Amino acid sequence: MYVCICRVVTQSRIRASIDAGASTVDEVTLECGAGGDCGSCRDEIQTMLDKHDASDCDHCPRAHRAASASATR
Amino acid sequence: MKGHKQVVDALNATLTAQLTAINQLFLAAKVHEHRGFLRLARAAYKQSIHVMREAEPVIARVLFLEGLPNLQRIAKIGAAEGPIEQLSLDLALQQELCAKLEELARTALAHNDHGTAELAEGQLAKEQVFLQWLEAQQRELATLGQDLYLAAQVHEANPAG
Ligand code: FES
Repeated sequence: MYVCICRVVTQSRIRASIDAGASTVDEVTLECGAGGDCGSCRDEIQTMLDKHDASDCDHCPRAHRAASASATR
Repeated sequence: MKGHKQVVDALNATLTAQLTAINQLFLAAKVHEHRGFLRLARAAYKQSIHVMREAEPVIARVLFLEGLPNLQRIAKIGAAEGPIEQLSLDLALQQELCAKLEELARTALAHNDHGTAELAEGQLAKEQVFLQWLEAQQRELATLGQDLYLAAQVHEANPAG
């Protein structure tokens, strides 16, 4: 599906950004454009970031940050 | 008549779900049409216009309760890359709209606002008709498989309807 309608960016394209290491919504925007216009898709991008944890990817910086954040919770 | 703030908020939450449905289904209808799935296009188009009509009494009710109808807020539009995925996004959308109407009815009853409760319940029954249609599509899809199902969406089932 298209997560970002303004910039015409699909869910799989955003997932690729996250897999490549984008760890915040702003970094996703920088990498693929999603979230850079009206902003109404930013919550959904954040949800995708939250769901992406060490089990999806064990080498990107994002996974390690999420793991240490949940360890301190 | 001054309404309870929670009732006005619930009416505005319903309105948000309605405005979202109007736009999502209008887009879905035009995309289905562009791809040649005329039966799906027709169903989405009719529902979009229907919900626009349903939004009218909700807006009127907010004004009657001396609130300000929020036509600014709209939830995320579910835009799929393909027709099958669109049907599941539309199902989620319709479930959300029904949930908002149920909540509106509950909130209104809790504050003894029977007029609003009646409005919500009347609309809920109508929205459940489209919900049932969407659920039936999922069953047809499971029975026929994607290819056969989509082949059956190319022509309108009832051009007069
Ligand atoms: S939908 Fe992504 S910026 Fe508008």
